[in-house]
Amino acid sequence: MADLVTHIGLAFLVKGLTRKPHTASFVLGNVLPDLGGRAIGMGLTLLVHQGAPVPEDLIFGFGVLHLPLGILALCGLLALPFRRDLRRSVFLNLLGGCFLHLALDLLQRHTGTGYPLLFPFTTWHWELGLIGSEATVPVSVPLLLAGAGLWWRRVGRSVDDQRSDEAGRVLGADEQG
Amino acid sequence: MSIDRELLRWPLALVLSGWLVFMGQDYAETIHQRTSWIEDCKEAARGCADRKVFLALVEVVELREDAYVARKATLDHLIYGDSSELRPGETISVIARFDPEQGVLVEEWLEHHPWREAKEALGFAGLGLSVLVLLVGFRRGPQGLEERA
Repeated sequence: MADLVTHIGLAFLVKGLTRKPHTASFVLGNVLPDLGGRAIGMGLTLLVHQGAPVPEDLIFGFGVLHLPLGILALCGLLALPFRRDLRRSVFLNLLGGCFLHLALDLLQRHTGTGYPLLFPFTTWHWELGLIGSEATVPVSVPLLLAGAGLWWRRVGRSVDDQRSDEAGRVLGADEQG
Repeated sequence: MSIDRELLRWPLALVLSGWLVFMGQDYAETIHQRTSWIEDCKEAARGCADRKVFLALVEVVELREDAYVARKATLDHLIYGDSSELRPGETISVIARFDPEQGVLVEEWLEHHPWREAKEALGFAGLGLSVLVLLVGFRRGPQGLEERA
C-alpha cells in the first residue's frame, strides 16, 4: 500500500482537475481499503502481541476490504444510509476512490507477493512492480498540498461561496419573517 | 401491491454483510494455508530442501549472533544470516530457503526499508485527515446521510 497521505492528495488532485462534486465520498473511497483492509488487522495484530486472545480469522479476514470484490460490497453497504437521491453518486464516488487506491498500490513491488485481485474465484496475485513500497513517501506532502490547493481553487471555494449564499438567504428570510 | 424500495435497503445490507463475512473467512483460510506449510517445514526441514520463503515487509524483533527473528503478523521466523546491519524494530523483506542439512531457514536475499518509519508516520497523519474529512464532509440530514461537497 502507498501511504495514506499520498492517497488523499491524489484524490483531491483528481477532484480538482475534473471539477466534479462528491469530493468527500471520493476521498473516503481513497482511504477505505487501507482503513478497513489494513489498519484494523494491524491493530488486532498489536493486541495479539500484547497477549489478547484475538482469533486469526479476524486478523486476516479484514484483508478482503483491500480486494476488488470486498471493496464493491463495502461501498454498497456504506452508500445505503445516504439520502436516496445521493446514494448512487456516493456509491460511485466511493468505488472510484477505492479503485484509484488499488491502481496506485498495484504500481508497487513486494517481495514474492502481489494483490489477489480476483479473490475469491482464484488466489492468483499480481502487481506491476514499478515502484518500491515506500516510493511515494517523499512526494506525499507536496502532492497533498498541490492536490488540496488545486481542489480549493477550482472546487472548494465555490462550495464555500454557495454555502455563504445559502446562509445569507436563510438569514434574510429570518429577518423578513 | 408495490414494495417500498427504501425497505429493500435492509435485505441488501444483510446480503452484502453476509458476502463480506464469507469472503473474510475464505481469505483468512487462504492466508492460513499459505503460511502453514512454513511451520510444517520448520518441524521437518529435510522434506522441504531448498524451498523458498518470501517474507515481504517483516519486522526484526530479535537479533542473535548469526541469525535474527523476523515477525510477519502473528508468526515469528528465525532466519540464519548476517544480523550485523540489522536493528530491532526495523522493517525488511527477506527471501530465505530451508537448509536440509541444518534444518533451518537461511537468508538468501534481504532488502532494507529505511523509509518505513516515515511511511508509518504518514499513515497516522492520513488517519487524522480521514477523520477530518468524515467530520467535515458529511452530515446527518432528515432523510439520511448527506455530503457537504
